[in-house]
Amino acid sequence: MDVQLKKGLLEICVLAVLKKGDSYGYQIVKDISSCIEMTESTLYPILKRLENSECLSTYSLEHNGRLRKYYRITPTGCERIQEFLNEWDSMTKVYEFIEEANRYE
Amino acid sequence: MNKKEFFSVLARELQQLPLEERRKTENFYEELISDSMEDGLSEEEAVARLGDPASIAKEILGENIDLFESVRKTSKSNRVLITILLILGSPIWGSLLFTAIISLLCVYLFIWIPIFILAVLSLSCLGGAVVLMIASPFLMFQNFPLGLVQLGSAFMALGIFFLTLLVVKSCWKMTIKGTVGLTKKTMSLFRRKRGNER
Repeated sequence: MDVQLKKGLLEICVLAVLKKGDSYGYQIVKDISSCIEMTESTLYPILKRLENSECLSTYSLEHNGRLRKYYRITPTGCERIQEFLNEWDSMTKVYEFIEEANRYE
Repeated sequence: MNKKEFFSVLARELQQLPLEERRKTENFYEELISDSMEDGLSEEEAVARLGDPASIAKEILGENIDLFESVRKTSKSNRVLITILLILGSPIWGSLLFTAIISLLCVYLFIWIPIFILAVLSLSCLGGAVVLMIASPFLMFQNFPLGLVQLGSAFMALGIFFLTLLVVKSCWKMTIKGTVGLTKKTMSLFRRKRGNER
């Protein structure tokens, strides 16, 4: 898949996982891997970007004698998901446009 | 590769990042390794899953247009400090700013004064010519030669009016161009460069 496109999709996927409930790095990768290929090292920049754009907030909880960082989606993050879904209509239009043009030999 | 090796490479490659960023990165990967190990992987396997630390570092550094963002997103205490410094420094930057504004106004004046003078000259010649011309017939009845001289000078003033009008017309475009150019240049000094905004 195109790198830029995938980057954008992954951001939304991370937000979607968090929409279901707060989560932490390892679990997020696990959840997302069922639908799109993702490694831990791609997750870090995505989380950072989302945090910088205030789409998610963080907090730490103790787990087995160490701290685990949890991520929680913010209202801004929820809006991002909604925007993505709203955009889907225009995206399918683009898909149909490209697909139709591709049929000409 | 074990955990220690992984982190020593990562730390070396991320040297140019601020300490806080580096620590955040390390905590993140530390947590991932611990979580995978809890899931049943060995330390080596958990580290191997993450991939090559050098390329991880490269990706993070590549992302770090965000670094500038974190600098811009200064903490609240920094913002207070900056505000205080701005106020304390106002005698210096205030007077500099004032000077800059005055100089800018001077340049505008410099551009506009020639055309202004010419326009005033032109208009006053027109006015003079009209008055002289209307008055000259009356004067001719009393003193014909003097009236004739007055009519002549009226035409002379009219001539000067047309001449200066021509000059004003040709200078007009240049003046406007100069003003627009100067304004654009000044504005561009203040416009923020938004090249790296996503």
